Amino acid sequence: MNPIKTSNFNFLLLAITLLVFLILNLSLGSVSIPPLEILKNIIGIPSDNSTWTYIITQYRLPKAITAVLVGSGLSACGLLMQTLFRNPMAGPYVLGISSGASLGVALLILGSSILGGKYLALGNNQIATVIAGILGAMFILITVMAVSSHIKNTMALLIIGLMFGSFTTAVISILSYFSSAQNLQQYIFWSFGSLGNTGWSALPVLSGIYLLCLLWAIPNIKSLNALLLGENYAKSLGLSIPATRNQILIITGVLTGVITAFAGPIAFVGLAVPHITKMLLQTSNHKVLFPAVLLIGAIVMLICDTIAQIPNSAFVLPINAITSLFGAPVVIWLLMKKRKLS
Amino acid sequence: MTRNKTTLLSAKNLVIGYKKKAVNLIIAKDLQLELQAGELVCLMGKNGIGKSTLLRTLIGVQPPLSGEIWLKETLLQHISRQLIAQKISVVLTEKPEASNLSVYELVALSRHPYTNWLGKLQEEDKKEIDLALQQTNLSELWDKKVDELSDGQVQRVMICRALAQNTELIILDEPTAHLDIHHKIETFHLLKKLARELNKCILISTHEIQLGLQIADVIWLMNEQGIISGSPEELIENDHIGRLFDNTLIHFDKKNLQFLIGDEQVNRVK
Repeated sequence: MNPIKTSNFNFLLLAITLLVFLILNLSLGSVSIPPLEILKNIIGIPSDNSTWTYIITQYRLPKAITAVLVGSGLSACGLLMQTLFRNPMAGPYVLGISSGASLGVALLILGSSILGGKYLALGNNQIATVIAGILGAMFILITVMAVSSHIKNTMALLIIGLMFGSFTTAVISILSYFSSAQNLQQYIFWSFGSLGNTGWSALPVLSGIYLLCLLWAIPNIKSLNALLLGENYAKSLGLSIPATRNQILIITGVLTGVITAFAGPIAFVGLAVPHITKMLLQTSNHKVLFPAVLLIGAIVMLICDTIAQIPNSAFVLPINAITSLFGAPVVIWLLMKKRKLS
Repeated sequence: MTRNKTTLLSAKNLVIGYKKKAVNLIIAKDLQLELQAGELVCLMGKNGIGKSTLLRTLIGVQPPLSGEIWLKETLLQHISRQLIAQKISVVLTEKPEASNLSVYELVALSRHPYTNWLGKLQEEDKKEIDLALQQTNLSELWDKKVDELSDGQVQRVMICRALAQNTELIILDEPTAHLDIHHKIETFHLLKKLARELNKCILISTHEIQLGLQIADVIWLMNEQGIISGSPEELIENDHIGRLFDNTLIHFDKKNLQFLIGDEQVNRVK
């Protein structure tokens, strides 16, 4: 009797799919590069075309890695939050956590512009942006948590998330009224969401915090499974609810904050991917779900990014628009399908 | 088989209720209770009398207002959550939302207090799970999803889960509430069998007075004055059962162990 074994095949399939879309993502763009050349470049065999090598190593590879980190990270956050809140609608964007991070970043970029002088440099500081994003995300997360302890209703929580979004927009409008055109442009480009504008420079911080958060999440998988039975059962199994809740809040807050700070507010991936995963694998067991959500999150993000680059054209669409186009219908479908999801 | 009378749990001068700011909302007080190994105990009482509060207090989820609860020789409040989980398991009224878990996976959650930080099942855990599945007659359903099961089967899975937790004491809150009479009797029989054969103490809160009186070793009758504890025969003889619902609407038929609509009411309807 080992139900875990049956999912090994699924994981192999997912890993192969991820690899295929990774190569596809690297190969398509304003110029198409044959997949074989991609493989050569990754392994380190010198390519005949040095322009291709430059495009791949300097632009597309860091962007693809960012896509993998962002997609899997946000999806993992979504899974953790859905189980913790016992709410299928929970996710970093829908609950306004991403808005919180935006607020933090907006306060930094636009605020530094308003204050001027020695604060001006702060708006361009990467570390400062990351910290502002994390603080903003944590602020909203704790607020939502406090509110949700009074309101158990799914719809109400959704509306509260929406309100936080509106609140953020309002504050940003006020800030942008007072800030310089240059900073405003900087903020707006950030808010479109982008995986590519950071290059290699952002990856050490992003991947470092990403890894720390995921490692911290692993010992919580056992608790998440116990939480599937409901809080009272979980308590009867010896689980400390406050300790688990706080850990998951910190993990999701920090991870969403750092991802949003680097890639902008990316909508719906965190909400939709856990549901897609649960549907594909037909399980609620987090030992299976957690790694699967990471893989599928990465795949979905790579697909979205590939579409956003519009193959063979010089245009690049905002990634946020693509994830919304794909994610919003998933939310509507979820709401129409009244069945209780967990 | 000789059953050793071991007291697993005892409550002394227990006062249960809720703390609302500075005011104590007392539900029941001066409770003196004992649970012995090998016994099936039924907790009965009117709706809202505080049965669930008592159960929540006994499993350590809700602190008592005063008094002591002893698990064998140790005070409950001195035992860590994880250790309590190795001594008391529960079946609650709330339905698990884990609809997409298999029976095996759900039962395996019971091993939470025993497994390592990753929750990896060891041989010993698997043995306990298999044994519990056999004892509750679920071995053939092990890979079925929980949401494919009937209400009766789901309840059996929850009992199996509690069993696999391998505790001396199992506490169930209205385990037969949504079941038909066939499955009610089946559940009671299963619990009685588990208490006898595995020398566990099983405490059930229930509204099934007729079934409880026939099958329980001890009845805890909860009313406004507290809890009267005794064998079913004692409680019937002393008319404690009859006074459970003290109004003219119903009366207790001692011979058939059931409540009937009061004569006046019947006449009025006719």
